[in-house]
Amino acid sequence: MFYNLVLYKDLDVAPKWFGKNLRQHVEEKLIQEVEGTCNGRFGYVVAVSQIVSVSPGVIRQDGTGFATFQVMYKALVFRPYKGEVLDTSVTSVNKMGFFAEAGPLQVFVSNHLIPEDFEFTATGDPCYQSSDGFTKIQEGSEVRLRIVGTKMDQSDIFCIGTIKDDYLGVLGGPV
Amino acid sequence: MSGSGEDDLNDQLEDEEEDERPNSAPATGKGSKRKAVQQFFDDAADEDDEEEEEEEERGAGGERRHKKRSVFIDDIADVDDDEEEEEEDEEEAGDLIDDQDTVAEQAERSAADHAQFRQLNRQQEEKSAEEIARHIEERYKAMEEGGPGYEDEDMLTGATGAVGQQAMLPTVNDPKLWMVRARAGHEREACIQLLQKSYNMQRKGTPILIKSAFALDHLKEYVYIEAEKEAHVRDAIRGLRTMFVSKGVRLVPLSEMVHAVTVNRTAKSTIARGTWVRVRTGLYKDDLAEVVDVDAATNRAVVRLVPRLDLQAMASRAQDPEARKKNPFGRVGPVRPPARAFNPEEARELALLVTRVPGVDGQTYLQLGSNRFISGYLEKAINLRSLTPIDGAPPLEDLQRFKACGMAADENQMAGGADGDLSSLMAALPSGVAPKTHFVEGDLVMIVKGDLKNLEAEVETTRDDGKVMVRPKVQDFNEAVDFDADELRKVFKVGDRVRLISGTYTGETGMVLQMQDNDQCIVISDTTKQELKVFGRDLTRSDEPDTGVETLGEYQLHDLVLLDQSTAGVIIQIQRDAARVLTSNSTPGLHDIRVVRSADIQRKLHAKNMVTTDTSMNKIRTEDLVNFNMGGPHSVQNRSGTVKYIWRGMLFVKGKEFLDAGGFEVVRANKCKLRGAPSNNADLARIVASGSHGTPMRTPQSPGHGFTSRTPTMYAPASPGNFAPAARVAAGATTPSNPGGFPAPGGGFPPPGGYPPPGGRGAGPMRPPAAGGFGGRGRGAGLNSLIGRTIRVRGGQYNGYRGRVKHETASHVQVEFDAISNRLITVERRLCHDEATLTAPRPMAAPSQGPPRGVPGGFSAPGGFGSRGGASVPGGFGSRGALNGARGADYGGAGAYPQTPLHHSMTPMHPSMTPAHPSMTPAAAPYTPMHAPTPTPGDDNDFMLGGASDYQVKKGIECRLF
Repeated sequence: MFYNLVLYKDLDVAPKWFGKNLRQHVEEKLIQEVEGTCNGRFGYVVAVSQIVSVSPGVIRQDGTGFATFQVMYKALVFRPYKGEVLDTSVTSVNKMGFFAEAGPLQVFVSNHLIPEDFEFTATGDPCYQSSDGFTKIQEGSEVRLRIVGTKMDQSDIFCIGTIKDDYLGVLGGPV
Repeated sequence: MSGSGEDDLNDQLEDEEEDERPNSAPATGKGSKRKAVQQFFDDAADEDDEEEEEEEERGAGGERRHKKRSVFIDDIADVDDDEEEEEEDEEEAGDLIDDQDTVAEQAERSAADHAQFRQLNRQQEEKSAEEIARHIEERYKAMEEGGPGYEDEDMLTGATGAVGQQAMLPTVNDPKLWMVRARAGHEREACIQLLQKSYNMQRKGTPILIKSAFALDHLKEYVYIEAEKEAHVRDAIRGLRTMFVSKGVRLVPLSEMVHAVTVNRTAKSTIARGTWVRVRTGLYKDDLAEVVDVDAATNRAVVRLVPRLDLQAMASRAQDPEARKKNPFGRVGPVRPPARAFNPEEARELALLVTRVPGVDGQTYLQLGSNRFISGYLEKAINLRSLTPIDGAPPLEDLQRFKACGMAADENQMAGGADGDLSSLMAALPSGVAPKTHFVEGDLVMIVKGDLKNLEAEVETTRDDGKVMVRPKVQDFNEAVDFDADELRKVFKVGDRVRLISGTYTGETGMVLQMQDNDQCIVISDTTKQELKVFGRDLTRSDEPDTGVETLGEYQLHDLVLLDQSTAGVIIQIQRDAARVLTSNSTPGLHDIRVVRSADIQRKLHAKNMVTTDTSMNKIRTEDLVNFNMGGPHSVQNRSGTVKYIWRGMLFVKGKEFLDAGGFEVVRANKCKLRGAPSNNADLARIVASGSHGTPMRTPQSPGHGFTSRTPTMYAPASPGNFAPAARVAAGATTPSNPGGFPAPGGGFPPPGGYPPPGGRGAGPMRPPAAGGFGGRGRGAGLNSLIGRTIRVRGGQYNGYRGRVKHETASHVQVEFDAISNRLITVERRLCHDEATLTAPRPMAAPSQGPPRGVPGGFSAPGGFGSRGGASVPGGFGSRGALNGARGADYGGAGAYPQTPLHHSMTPMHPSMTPAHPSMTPAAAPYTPMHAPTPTPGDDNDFMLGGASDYQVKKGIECRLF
């Protein structure tokens, strides 16, 4: 699920930036440091949408001359939940299941959580093929799945998903 | 069978019963049951034969039971016996009368034997407690006195009360117990010898006077002898080679006599029929074995093993007498053969004789040499001492392998696959051996037995007696109910985070993918992303948001560790006492994964600040993104990941796509490409020439500019603000193409081929070393690093000192001077000059070893110039002299060594040249200017001729920057 949250970040800025472009630099640095990161609590920081405020800088007392700015910013975060339904694109298929990505999030769908009528075929591009042969899950396929388990790390989130449920499964083939 | 026949039978049965009754006590439960049976016969007289067969079976079963039973409950079995006889009667109607007689006789005999007890049994039901007590007393009293039950030992030991025991303790009047030293391993033999001796002496008429002798298995080198006097013992053991009179005879104190004969229960072997053991030594060391039979007397057990046979070797032995001579006992070599099911066909193909041997219990064994096989297993008698009992069930993998052996041998189950089904394995496990589930508070369980079956519950506590208190998940039900551990089963839901608490994967965490009926669970491991098939009882919920990081001693998951001098690796998985390490010997697609113990790891490597170059000489640091740029399969080629460690030109790259080796791949740095870097030198040149700053090249890491390269955005610096000031000024002040302003001149990218030379070809390389070091070097050790190099200080307090660089920063270096030991001295970087590059163009320095500041005078010092022939020499010197003059004017002391800047900057271009000429000896010095460490003298000339003025300009600018 996506949220627009107000978050805080302490930025250390080198003294050479203490000039008229300081604010610009702080903004750039913030984006560089937080966008694309993952946080065990809020999930992935997808984008910084607004910088609310930048506190006055405090010179660090360690001789480096760096100043610390506390930045309050709004960011779009993406946090997956158990039970959430996501549209993903398949990145790799193997006999144990397939991996799919929803933006930064990686989801693994085990072959136990793929309907029984899908069979793994290793010939050519590895894929899961339905018994009638019409549907195929291969690299690049778009799949709607439900998250059944999440593992939140300090720096990464990993989920397992299922397509063994109503209204889940392949949305489209590789483009 | 006809209805009339049945009736006859029933009549007979009734007669039979009447015959029996006078002997036995009346009205047993059994009797009434029999009545019921008769009723049944009457009612269902027309029923088919099946019922009769059933009856027969029951009868047969009864007989079997009879054999095991104690005499005290014999009466029931007897009746059963009778019954069976009766049923036999049905079939052999002709022998009816005779049989009955025998039956009656038998019944009479046994009944007479145990009449008392029957009576007791039957009357008990109607008697009050006191009466029963009185009867029991009577009964045991009778036994003490040698009544009918006396011979039953079980009864005796079981019934003797505390008082009786006390009475049996030895007193001072009893014979004493003596301890005698015996030859080790011959304790039993010694006892037998004593027995024999006692017989022999008895026959001679001079009996030995000891009462008894015994040896204990757990007490080596001693034999106990019971005798009145020590002299008796000495007499008895005299002359026996197994016992030593000389070593003395020790009296066992009265108080310890009981201990001496008490069988230590804990010392008793736990190895019993049907248990699992491991072989401790020999060919089958550490192999799993199932105990088929135990012979406590010989201390041996017959076990079943998965055979390790080298049929080939056996065959060649059988055919080649030479081989037999060399190896008379068919000893196996150092490499032990793999464990495999025995296949008689294979043996026969190799012309080995496989015979069929009947076993004691009706099975047929196959015999090959001295080995006996049954259904693929080897049966072997092994000393109990070389078997180790296994606590609980053996590990699943071992068990699977073991069972697979039997299955492979069984042709019927060939199709079932060799890896064995878990559930059948479970069934195969002896019930008593199945390990207990360990329940912890909060576990979600399902009740699998009893009235509350299939009800889910939550574990409250586990009690000491093994009972588990659970609270069923039913509305308004708030009581905790206690259950036995085996009445409960842990349940998990798909997606639950779990931790493995026993089995081979102990300690791993993962997510439940599937729960199956027979307590099996499929779990996807967090670290390896592999599916593990485990038992639910080995799992526990791990709700805490732990990282799954395990540690092995001081090492953690994903640490870079040094295994030996030439191998490092990343820990990709940590097991109970070992770690799996992906080593630097791996290549993408061909992983070298080693399982190492903590002791095998030399140390942890902190290789965070390493820099190396990719295929187009871009600098790669840790946390950079790289693409694999190599031949090979498509799948490998297109991969990419984040560099986590750099070690000796190998990159340890982490990426989501790398599933096989814990998310890591190892790739040679020069087979990679930095993501976002220009693809080749031509591009680079174009970019540089265009002077645009918005190009996707790496920004310089200027000193103090400490942002990390987390995201790809940093490769496309949109504003010039990302450039280091030095680079910016330089770039602005000189031509756009001036590599002096380019971020990584020290990083050693070669002079681009299609390079537009507006600023002069020598511009780049002519940068003075100090400036070059500054502009191109990051905070850490770059390629142009001085660390480890021998430098000489020019100027300042330490002018002329030579030493080795230990640490460096952008502007200073810490040097260990040859002349000042045990101290590191910080010197300005610009004063340091690399000795290796200095030596070459500095003919006067080497011989004098001093810091000759007077340049012209220096030329005469070695006297070696005379030996230089050719017209080129004066010319060369001329130009140098001119340079010297010019520089000297500009820089004073520093200018005294004008060659230095020229040649220093060559080094990065030809990095291998410097070590190639490590020691320029004084004798050789005069030659060096000619054979300076540059393979292209043309370059030299360029500097000398055209580059000088340009150089000065730039130098001036950059100096101002400092």
